[in-house]
Amino acid sequence: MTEILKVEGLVKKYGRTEALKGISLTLPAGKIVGLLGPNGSGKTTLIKIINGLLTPTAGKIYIAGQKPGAKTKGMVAYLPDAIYLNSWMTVKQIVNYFCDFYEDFRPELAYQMLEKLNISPNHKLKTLSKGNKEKVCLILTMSRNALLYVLDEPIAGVDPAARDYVISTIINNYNPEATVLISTHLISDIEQALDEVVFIQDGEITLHKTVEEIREENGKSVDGLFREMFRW
Amino acid sequence: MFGKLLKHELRSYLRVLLPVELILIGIALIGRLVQLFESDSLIYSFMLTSALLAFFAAWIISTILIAILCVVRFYKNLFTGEGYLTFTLPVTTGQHLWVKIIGATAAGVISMVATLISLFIICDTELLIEIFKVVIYLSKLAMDYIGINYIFFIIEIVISLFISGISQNLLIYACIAIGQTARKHRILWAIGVYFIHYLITQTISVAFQFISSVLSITGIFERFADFITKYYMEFTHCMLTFSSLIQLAICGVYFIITYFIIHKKLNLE
Amino acid sequence: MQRNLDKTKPLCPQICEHICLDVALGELKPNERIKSVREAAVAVGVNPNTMQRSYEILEQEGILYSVRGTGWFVSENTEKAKQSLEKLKEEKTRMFFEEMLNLGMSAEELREFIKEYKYD
Repeated sequence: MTEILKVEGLVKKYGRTEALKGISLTLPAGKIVGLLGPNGSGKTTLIKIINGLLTPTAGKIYIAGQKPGAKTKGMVAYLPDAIYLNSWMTVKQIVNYFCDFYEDFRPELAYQMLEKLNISPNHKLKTLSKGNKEKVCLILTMSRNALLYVLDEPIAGVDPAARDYVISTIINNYNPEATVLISTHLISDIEQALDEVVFIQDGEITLHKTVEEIREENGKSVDGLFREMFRW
Repeated sequence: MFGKLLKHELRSYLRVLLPVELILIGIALIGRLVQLFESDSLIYSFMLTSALLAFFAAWIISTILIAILCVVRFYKNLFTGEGYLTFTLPVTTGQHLWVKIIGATAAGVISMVATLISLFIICDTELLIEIFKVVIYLSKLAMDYIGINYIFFIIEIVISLFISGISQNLLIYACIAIGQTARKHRILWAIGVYFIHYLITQTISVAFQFISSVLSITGIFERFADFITKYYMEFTHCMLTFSSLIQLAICGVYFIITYFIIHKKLNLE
Repeated sequence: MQRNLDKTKPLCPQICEHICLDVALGELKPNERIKSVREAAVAVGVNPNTMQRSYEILEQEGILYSVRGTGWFVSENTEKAKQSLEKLKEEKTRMFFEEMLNLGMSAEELREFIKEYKYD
């Protein structure tokens, strides 16, 4: 199996605080992986490093064998936890923007998904509701034919119906050659869709297993195990 | 990729630049229109004065607006939420920075051209041409008198102004980038860095003035006086080129600072 | 197939069980083409790899068969699924009895309960 993501002894320090304390992680192709951990555990730091938005203090990271840079950015589809789109643009302009920069972007797929939601390409982003804005962001990310999809908290702060939409969109766009990494602290909603989970706590990986292993060995749901391990 | 990035950069500038410059030109046109009704009446002189004032105000506002636009575009596109998209495009840091510099420079040039056009519109064209002719004639006379090749001289001045414009721009970029390394109040930090830079450059120039005035008391410059009068032309050319080169070097420093921070120390909120 | 899955147990056997039931109860007819792995995964809201594995297990058991490039079908012979259904019925019934006995119901009370229960 090809390794999509390989992390070795990754350390990130902000001044004196250590956000990542030398983590190692390998993700193969064709998996939907949950990156689970409480707020401030290092999830977002890891995700930013994968996307080349942060430079690690020490350690190695490879995406499909390459260090993060312009080339890997063309292979990683990232859904940030922030509203990152220019609000004066229309949906169509943003689709064109993605088309221009990402060679793997599939505009017909994007339009097809937008049409299902009755979002007109001529709408300006700022006229869309918060929920629809988030859906547009997800559609843009999933419309890429990327090697690694990184979704940062895609279901936080969305209503249950929208959660189902997010999850079914992820499942529907499953590609055996790509890997999806989903960070979340809302596990029970998404755990059925996962292959593997990575628990991260205080900058360290405390568990990396397949979800079926967890259910079989512990007789618990992933959410149950998570609550037990993190004692919320 | 560079071309596409530049295309989108220019498009985002033109979105604001185009209406602003069109308004400026529109006000100039109104000013010209008023002049068609030239008479000795009080109303005419009132109309003309207010049209000229409006044009002047529009010009000042548009200039400030474009300066702000350049800064805001850099900050917003790179360091706010938009940065999440900008910095995950398959583009290198160097390309991002060059596009920002070219975009802002293009905006400056466009606004300058628009200002010239609007000036030609609002002023009596023939009068303006006459003024230009006189200016050129006088400068040519002056240059001939000192013995400097005036076209060469003008080119040097234009280049030097161009570089100092870019350097001002890069200075602000560097300040914003340095401000971004702070954990909180990043814009305030950027402004603080700009002030510190200002204080340092002022101190240096005061120190230079002090040193040169001390030196002039010792009479050291008089030894060079003959030399300078003899080779005045070469001296001026040298000084201009030298200052341009120094400006260019400073630009390089600002560029490297900004590049380094974006490349290694980026931390979007 | 929209059924709740117990997330404290492996999902694969549960999905297999559900499909098995649908076949045994005739909700899925022999040689009927069933949902693709992707469609089924979306419908149930589970991981596509889990769905794929479930289909493969059912194929080994002879309950489903796959045609390359066409999709997945219900086997002609539903005997296997019916056997599974019988096994399941027996298992669940046994579980019920065991639970009731654990709750302190006597054999007499159980018999009474079975007799009195409104079957409709």
